Amino acid sequence: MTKNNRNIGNKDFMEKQKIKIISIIKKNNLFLFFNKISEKLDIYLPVQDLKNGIIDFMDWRCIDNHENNNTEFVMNLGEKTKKSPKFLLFPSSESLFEFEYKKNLDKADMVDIELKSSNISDSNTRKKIIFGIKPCDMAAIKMFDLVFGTGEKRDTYYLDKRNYSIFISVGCSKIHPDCFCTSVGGHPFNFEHSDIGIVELKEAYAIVKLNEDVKWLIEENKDLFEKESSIDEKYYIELNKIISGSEEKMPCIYRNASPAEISDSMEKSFNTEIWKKNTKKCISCAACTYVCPTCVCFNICDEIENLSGERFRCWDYCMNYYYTLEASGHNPRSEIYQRYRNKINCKYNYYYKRSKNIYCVGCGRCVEVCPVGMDIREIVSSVLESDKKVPDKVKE
Amino acid sequence: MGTEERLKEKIGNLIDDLKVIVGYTKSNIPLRVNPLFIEKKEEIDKLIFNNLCINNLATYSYFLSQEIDGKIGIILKPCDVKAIVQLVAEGLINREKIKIISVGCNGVIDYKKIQRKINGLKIASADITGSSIKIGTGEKDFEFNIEDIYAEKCYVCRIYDKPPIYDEYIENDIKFNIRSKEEYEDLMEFEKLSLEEIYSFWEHEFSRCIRCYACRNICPLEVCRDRCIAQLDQPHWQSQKITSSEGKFFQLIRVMHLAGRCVECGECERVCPSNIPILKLMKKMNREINKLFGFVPGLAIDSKPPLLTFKNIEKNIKEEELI
Amino acid sequence: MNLKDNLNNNLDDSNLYIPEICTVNKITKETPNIISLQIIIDDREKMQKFKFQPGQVGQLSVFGYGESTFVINSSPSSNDFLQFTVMKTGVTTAAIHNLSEGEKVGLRAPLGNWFPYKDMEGKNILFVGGGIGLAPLRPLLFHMLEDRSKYNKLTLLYGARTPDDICFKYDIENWEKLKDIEVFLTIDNACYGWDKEVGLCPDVLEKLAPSPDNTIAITCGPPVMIKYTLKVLEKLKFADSTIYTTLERRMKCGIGKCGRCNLGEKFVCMDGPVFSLKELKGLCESFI
Repeated sequence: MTKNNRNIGNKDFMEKQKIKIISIIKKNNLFLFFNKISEKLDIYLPVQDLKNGIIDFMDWRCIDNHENNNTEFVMNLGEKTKKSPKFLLFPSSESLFEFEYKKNLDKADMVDIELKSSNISDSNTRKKIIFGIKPCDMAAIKMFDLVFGTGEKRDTYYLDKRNYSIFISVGCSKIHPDCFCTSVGGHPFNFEHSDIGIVELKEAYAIVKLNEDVKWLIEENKDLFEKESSIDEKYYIELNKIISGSEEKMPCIYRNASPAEISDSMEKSFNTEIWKKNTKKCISCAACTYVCPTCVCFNICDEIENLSGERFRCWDYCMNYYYTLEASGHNPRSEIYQRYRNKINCKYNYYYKRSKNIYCVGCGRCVEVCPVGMDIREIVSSVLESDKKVPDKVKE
Repeated sequence: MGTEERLKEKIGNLIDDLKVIVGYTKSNIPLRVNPLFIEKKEEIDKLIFNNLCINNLATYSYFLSQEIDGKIGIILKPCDVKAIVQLVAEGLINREKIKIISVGCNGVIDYKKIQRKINGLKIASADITGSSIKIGTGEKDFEFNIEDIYAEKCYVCRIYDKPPIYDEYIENDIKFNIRSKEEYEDLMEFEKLSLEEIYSFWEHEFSRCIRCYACRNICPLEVCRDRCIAQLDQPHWQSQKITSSEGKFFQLIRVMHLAGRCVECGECERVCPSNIPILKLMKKMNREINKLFGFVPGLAIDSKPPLLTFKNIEKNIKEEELI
Repeated sequence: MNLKDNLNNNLDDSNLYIPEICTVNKITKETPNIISLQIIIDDREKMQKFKFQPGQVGQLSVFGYGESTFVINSSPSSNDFLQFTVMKTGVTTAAIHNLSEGEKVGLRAPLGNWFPYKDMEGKNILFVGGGIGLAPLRPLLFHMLEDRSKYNKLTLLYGARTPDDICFKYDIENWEKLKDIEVFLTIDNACYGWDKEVGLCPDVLEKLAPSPDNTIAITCGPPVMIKYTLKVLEKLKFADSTIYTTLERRMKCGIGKCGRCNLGEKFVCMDGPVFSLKELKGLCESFI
């Protein structure tokens, strides 16, 4: 992996993004802020289970939870969550509706069907704040909007939750070895998709983006926030350092190729041996799919007990043998390499063709979680390399 | 010549007669190794063998033997050979198809233990010098005694230089020197807890299960991955919902499926993305099977696995007491 | 539960996952393992307003067993009922076969694209169907026979394994009597009492050697039959853009969200099931 030699310069980026500090909240005021707004809103943030070190998005109330003596939870904004926060808008299992077979009281030999809306828990009807979501995961939520929320056919289950969520994104002061968002069009301080953007400083959080429709959050609690005019110079200096520091650490992979070039190379290499060669160790589980922030394939199942049941949807994974298995027994993707090839093409080729977006945000979770070390960066890089027409632009 | 060099030499001599040889190679991620499929002499250079080689390459034995017409070679630590032994004893693979290239082991480092000790920070670099290992995370640096971070199975291993069967054996030039623990010591500690504590422990662990099936797919003995009853519509044994109770149910299916078959290689626990300690469940079942039938899986190639055979009178099951 | 107050008022029309409740009106046994199901949407107004194009599909569900995709093969101009033809292969289709008249099913329709019949006006149309593959061709045949003057010569070549496996026997009998369309039937192997063509569909097609001039070819049937029929059409010099077929892939949501039915960058539930051969050849993933 070569270091990013592009001389963007922190100044250019800050100017381009018009990064300026809108407000500051001191670190020890953050939970006071949460306390106040949690009367009206649910808050989800990255919480670390100190017993096993795993970080995942959880309801912030478990940080106060001292009842369960086995565990201790703390907020952790620096590390990546193990799973992506997609489950907050797209739960791993979600009931679509319930049905019940009922005897027709007028005609003795007839049975009617009654459809019922599923029980919606209170938590689904309250507005949510999702705090601490990283720019890569936020970009993934934007892609979900493209899949679920646009065009004539919209997914109301997703949209209901989406419209009731406020995203407070935290920039990545820490770049991990498996991060590569800049190679797929992202940036560790890209706040364009979130409602509020903040950067974690040593003693405070700097708010660098604030959407009009969520201004009320700050205004209703202005005693906890500093006014723009009275922000100390030192915060600007710290902010500058953090942003430029992170850019230097970002690896530049994929030979600086544009999304169109990557999609083109994928297309050309579809029927070559590269897929069979590189997927021999894959065991075809769902680990990469389920931790991925953009993977969104789901299954719809009916389950019935006696006369009533429900139809629900649950996460599914295209690496599954059963994914395309037809009732006749024919399976268009019976081999592991065919399924893996479909998965990578789906991310770097098909979605690009459909929406001009690469469907990978460069979070690196799949690389970390894979039991056998399948590395999406390696595979895509070998595809680019095998397509001689895409030169390694970094060498120029 | 070091172990790795001798192994490469041996592979060089065997590669012509084998369709593929499965071994280990370097990974981009610190402290990990990846499986390597060698088909040509030029690829042998990528082979490695060291104390990071925790993966059990017997995972690939069944599927490769089904797919490939001809002999396959697999590089296996003595503990991993047990999986092949069990597969052969059950008639799932043909002994003739696999060339077992076993390498003496001096213990493998469990990277997950280190991850737990550094509290969620990412391992950016790892340096092994002598008896200590230095971990760099980009923030803090840590240092551990290698003695403390071997895989749990290494502390109870008795076969580190005596694989149950093999076709080729390469002696490790570093002697095995890990203090031994009593077998099932961790299980006995755990069983001291009350029933409520144990149940709430598993409730907490399985709340993170995402039913990714990594545990099932990595297990060398679960060759049923493309026709698993947990994913079938007919008969509808299990709901497809991804919830904590379904996760628990699936693990119980696995425990029953692997009763008397699990060789305790620990891969299932290693690959779980949610760090659920499922090996505890397998070990518990194995201990019960041993008590009932006096059987330990993976040691004798001609053994008759007790749950696959029938005896009119079982030595340890007093039928009168069951009624 | 008061649905109106519910934030997720998810039984209304904007929810694309909720099926319409329909009643099974009539069941016709086509062959030993194929039945045709006529259903009527319970909501009379919706039934009257229901419009679909020839080639579009619907997701038919038996609550508790599952949902499956079938082409709506009744006449597009009729609002009396909707017809689906189902072969018994799996769990859901077995449940459908177990239905009796008067029972309730769910329907989400119409989904997918349709045959571009407007582009076929003024041309000769060659229909090549095999087995249950006549079902997707049926609504198009009805449509073209009703609007007969817009099209040139209509030819149907239909093959089944045995005379018992012929679907829509009653329609074929009617069509054979019409001057508007020329019908060729074939069965795989000769059998007593059969005086028409004998041989596999692609072989008979080669024998008949229809001209590609100003002709559109539409073929539907089992994957193997389509594979060889396409080869024959190529041999007969049909251009890729003049050949259409319908594809089947396992479908779940039917609205391009769940990702399952993708073929390259196309979703069979949205960009299909009707595809031209030119379109299919442009995909990197093989469609056979």
